Amino acid sequence: MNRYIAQKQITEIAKHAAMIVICLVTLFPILWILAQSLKGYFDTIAVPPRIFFTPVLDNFRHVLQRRGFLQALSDSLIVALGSSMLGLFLGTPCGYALARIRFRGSDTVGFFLLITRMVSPIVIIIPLNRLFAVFGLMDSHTGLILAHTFINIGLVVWMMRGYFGDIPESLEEAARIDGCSTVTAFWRVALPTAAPGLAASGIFCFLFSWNEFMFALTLTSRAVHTSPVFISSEFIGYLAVEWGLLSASGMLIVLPMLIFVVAIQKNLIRGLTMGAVK
Amino acid sequence: MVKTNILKKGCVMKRKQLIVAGVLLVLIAGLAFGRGERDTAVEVDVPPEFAGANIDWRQFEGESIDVMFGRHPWEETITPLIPQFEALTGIRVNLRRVPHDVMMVEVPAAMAAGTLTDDVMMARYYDAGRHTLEGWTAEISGFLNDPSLTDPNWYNFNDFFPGARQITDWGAYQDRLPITAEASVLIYRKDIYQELGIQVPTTFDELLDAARRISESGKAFGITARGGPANWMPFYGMVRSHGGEWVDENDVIKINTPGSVAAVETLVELARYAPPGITAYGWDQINTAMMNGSAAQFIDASVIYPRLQDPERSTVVGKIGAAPYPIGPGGRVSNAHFWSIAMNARTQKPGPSWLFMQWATSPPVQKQVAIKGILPPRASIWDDPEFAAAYSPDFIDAMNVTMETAVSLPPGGERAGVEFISLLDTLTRALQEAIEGEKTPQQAMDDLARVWADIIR
Amino acid sequence: MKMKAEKGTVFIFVLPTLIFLLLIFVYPLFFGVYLSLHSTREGLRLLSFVGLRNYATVLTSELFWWGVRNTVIYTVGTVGLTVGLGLAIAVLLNRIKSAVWLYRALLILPLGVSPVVTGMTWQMMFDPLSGIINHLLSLVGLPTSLWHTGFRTAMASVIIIESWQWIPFPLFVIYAGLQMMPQEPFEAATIDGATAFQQIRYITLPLIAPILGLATTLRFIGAFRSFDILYVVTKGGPGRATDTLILQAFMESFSYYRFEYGLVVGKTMLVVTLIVSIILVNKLTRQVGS
Repeated sequence: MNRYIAQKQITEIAKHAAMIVICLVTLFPILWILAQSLKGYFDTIAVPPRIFFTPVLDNFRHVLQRRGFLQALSDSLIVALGSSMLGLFLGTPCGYALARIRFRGSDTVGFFLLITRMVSPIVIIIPLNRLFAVFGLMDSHTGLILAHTFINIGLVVWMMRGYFGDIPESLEEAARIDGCSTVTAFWRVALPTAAPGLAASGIFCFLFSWNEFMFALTLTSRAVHTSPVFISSEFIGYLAVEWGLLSASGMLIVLPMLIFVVAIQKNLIRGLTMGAVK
Repeated sequence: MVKTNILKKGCVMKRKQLIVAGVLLVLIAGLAFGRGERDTAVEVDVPPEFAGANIDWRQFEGESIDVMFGRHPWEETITPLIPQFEALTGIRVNLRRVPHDVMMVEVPAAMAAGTLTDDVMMARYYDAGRHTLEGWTAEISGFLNDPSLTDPNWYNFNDFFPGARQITDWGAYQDRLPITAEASVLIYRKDIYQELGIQVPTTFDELLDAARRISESGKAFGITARGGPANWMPFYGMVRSHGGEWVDENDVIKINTPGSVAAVETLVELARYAPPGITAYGWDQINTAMMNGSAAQFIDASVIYPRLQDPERSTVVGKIGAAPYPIGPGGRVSNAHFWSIAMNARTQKPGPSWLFMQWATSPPVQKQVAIKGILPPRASIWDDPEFAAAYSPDFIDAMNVTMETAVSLPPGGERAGVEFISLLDTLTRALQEAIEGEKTPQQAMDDLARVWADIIR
Repeated sequence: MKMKAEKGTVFIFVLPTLIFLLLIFVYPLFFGVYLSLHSTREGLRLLSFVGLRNYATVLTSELFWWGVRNTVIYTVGTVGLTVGLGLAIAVLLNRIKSAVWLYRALLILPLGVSPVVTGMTWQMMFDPLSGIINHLLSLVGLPTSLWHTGFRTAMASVIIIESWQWIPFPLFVIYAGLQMMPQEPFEAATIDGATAFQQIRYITLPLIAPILGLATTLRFIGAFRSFDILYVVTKGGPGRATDTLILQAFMESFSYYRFEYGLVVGKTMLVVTLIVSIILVNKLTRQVGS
């Protein structure tokens, strides 16, 4: 009996040991970029790389004083907030309709929205470029917000469809018996109840928009310059690798998203699977 | 039940709103803080030489122009002089500096979309074929020949080196002016040469030998070279030094002729003595490999030299020597490079823009820039004693000897000029295949010649 | 259990989304087909109609099929690695009783890292000379590698990077599936004396097969259109070792101004995605949805 318990403990410890190794491997790149961001210039270009060094905050100070970096952050913020809000505004009613209202073609609409999540932006990026040029949307916040909303709308609809599906219908029925129209029932009853779903979808859209690269690279250039584009070009071609500055700005760009990801853990999986897994 | 839930969620939302508001506040504060660096107006003296020009510098007083520079030592050096231009002309300059990669991907995209708002921009001359085909850059010969805008005697266009003059109409029409002169030279570690008793190489064979000896000694890697981004740039000098060519003026492809293949063979051999991973090396990396002491020499752009002597960036200050470009079977033919500035064809302010271009490329400004470490494309400045005094003698000597026979990239015929970037990218990849030993130099170049034929057909 | 709404109400809900997608997706899609029938040889302003010639040129070119080859390797490699490792870690995590919240919080982090930053970080770590990975390998006496800079190792390297970023996704999808699984079969199996491996092989896997299929499909779609990491780390090099279709399409369109190539490749990818997703999604929505 004792041996059985001892064996159980050993396997338990082995499992934790394996898990700790896995977590370390997972975290290693994040820890390394943090280490690089805290190195002085000569430590970053050292061969072999230095594992032990005196940490300094110079890189962060330099990056935060760069106008380009702050502009990139504010552009990213504007675009991410804008596209999240537009995505929620357009997608939430659609998700509600798919969850609640019986109408012809609802399956087709749902599938069509899935498709938008599956195609690569490259499929529409070239014609979009031309169209945006005609309408003066190139290199503007509005243009990029529209493009990012395209990326996010399918997600919002499918996530919200899932959330509305989870809410007991009795409330809205009661409201409708009281004489509310479908629109009022949606607005007054369903929407407030689905607030956590709205928040989760919104954070999702924010995350995708914040990290999006291809549209940002091609639809904007000078007036709008989001942080992934900034970091991919800012520290290159300048006579020496600037790994310290690169890492510091990388850390600053990534940190809020790491917090988001942990905060919305459960919803994250739901969102990534378009509501197929709860 | 539901009601309390909603209430609770209300609280949660409020907390979230607070967080969002907090983040926003911090960002806005950061922005305000970041923008605090704007300089206040300073009184500037205009160099007296400008009075010698027989034009009215103040004819566009009160206007303003948008100027875009790529990050480059030239840009760092001329930016502090811009107040002089503003004082001279009364034109205000809104300057933007963009990273190199932005200039190469996003700026063309903006030009194609017609949304590039800058009036004047820094540009690479080998983009001229595409720029002029699409009409993205303004033709400048009219400005050059307009006596109210340009005093030909004072501006002295023919003072530019022949190679520099050539790049002004590399495309279908004259659309740019040269701002720098660079060429590949040999940069080496004096201390390592001395320790190993290596004579400064004058030929490619000697260079290879030196690289081998240094690598074998274990003191450092024998050489560092671009094997990644823009590896074609220093490679062109090697091709010409080995008697090869890329493509001639009738678009006949020469990249797989014996001379060109010999150059690839030399590059592949050199790469054996370079640090591992040079297929990812651009000039950032070759420079860093010198600055942290891991490599002992390179043949690449002269503009890097001052940076190697910068104690804030380099661990090898004072140990750097410079020598003329090595001689190959085809002679000493280094690759010259001239950065340029051009005018946006969509500019609403051609006059002020031209005055800026003229000012930035004028003899007095180019001299001021040259003294600070940027080699000028004007012959007269090279003879100036003040200029020579600003550099170490071996560097000036190396540059003088090298520039005599240096060449810029071949404009090719009608098709090659337009598809140049495409040719260059495929060349980059072919060189990498050869460096990695995936193909023999001959194979790699034969395959490349077929690819090129498809591109410029 | 859906309700019937007043006539026309559904339009108020659905139409804004549909109109938006019509403008930003459907119209560009067809406009793209139209543009792909033109040549840019005389410049972007002077398009000339060439019919289906672009399609013929691209689909018969060596470059395209090399891109297909690389895309297949990259997709299969990352899907296999992410789903395989994700499954293994999920099963392990599912059998752990304590500190699960901590592991979950740590394991999910890569999903939040912007792919551009991921690419640049790994580029730094993989650097054969100054990177930490070769340094650590040589410290413990293991052979070093050229990683993303070597012709033969580049593909494996970018697959590793992409997988690091995306393992958490199948991991947590599968983990969620495991958590929903009924406990009875396992209890019965334990009483019958089945080993842990037998339990996984004969009970767990069949039960989570639909979830596994879902994770695989979604990863396939993600990997097939992956761009950011490849663009940042190798741009398709060295040589054309990691040149995938999407990189080709991007470079041709935005570096060489030959957008017809990009359009043709894009359309081809769209067709492939559509076929795969129609087959898989139909199958999965039936399985998972029920």
